[in-house]
Amino acid sequence: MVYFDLASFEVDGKLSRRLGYKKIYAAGKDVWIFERPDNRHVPQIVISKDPGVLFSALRSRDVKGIIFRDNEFAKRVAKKAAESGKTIFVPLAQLLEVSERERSSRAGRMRKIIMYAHKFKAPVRLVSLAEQPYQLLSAAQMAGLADFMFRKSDKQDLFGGDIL
Amino acid sequence: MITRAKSRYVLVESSGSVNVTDASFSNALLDSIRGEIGSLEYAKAGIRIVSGLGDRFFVIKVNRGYENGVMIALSFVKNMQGRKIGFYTLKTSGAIKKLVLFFNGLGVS
Repeated sequence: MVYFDLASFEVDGKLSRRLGYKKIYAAGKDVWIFERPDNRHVPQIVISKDPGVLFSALRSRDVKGIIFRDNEFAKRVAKKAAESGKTIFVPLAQLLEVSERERSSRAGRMRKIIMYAHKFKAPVRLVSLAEQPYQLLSAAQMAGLADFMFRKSDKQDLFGGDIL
Repeated sequence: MITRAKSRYVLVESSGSVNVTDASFSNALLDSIRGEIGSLEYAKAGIRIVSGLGDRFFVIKVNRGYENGVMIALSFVKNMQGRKIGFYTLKTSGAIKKLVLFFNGLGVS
């Protein structure tokens, strides 16, 4: 199994391999993350709270996937992602530096996104989306978190294989 | 029948330099892990920092069956002794020698 991750900065190739990833994609270099579709840079991921923006982003050829900002989930967006075959990314960094109470609340909302994505057969991926090196996670830690927090026995769906 | 308790060894890399021989660091790390997994699990897991390998790598010994809990707990430890730091678990093995061989193969100091 080959693992990939997505971070907000460029990660040294040696560190990526030590962490168990074939590659950690860098936002702003390998992929661009925007609030709404922007055809100047491809491939891109759209992050928004607004279901309308995400829905229209899923129609764009340049958009590889979406992120529900603050885990504000919308069923129609998940259905559209399933139709278009585009990935719903779930960032794990948001769980790392918060209180236990906030963590369980966020994990609950993330679990809901994953549950509906599986229900509608939309591709869904866990990524770290780390903003700093200390927020990175090894592939083994990611697998452990996927098992522990999301009760998903088939981890391949959640973070194995290429993400772009 | 009395069975021998078996251990697992976890190779950990930190994002910054650490001194595992410093008791204040190891106590702070073990306290952080205990905070994440809870006192009961911590007592059952029998966690110990067994050796440092260079200034950013070290090995944690844990009772078999608790290694995943420790790996997840380490994911959530991001703040120690007033500085931001992350811990990545690189490999788990039943023999410390294998981890040392793996570490030597990484080509890092």
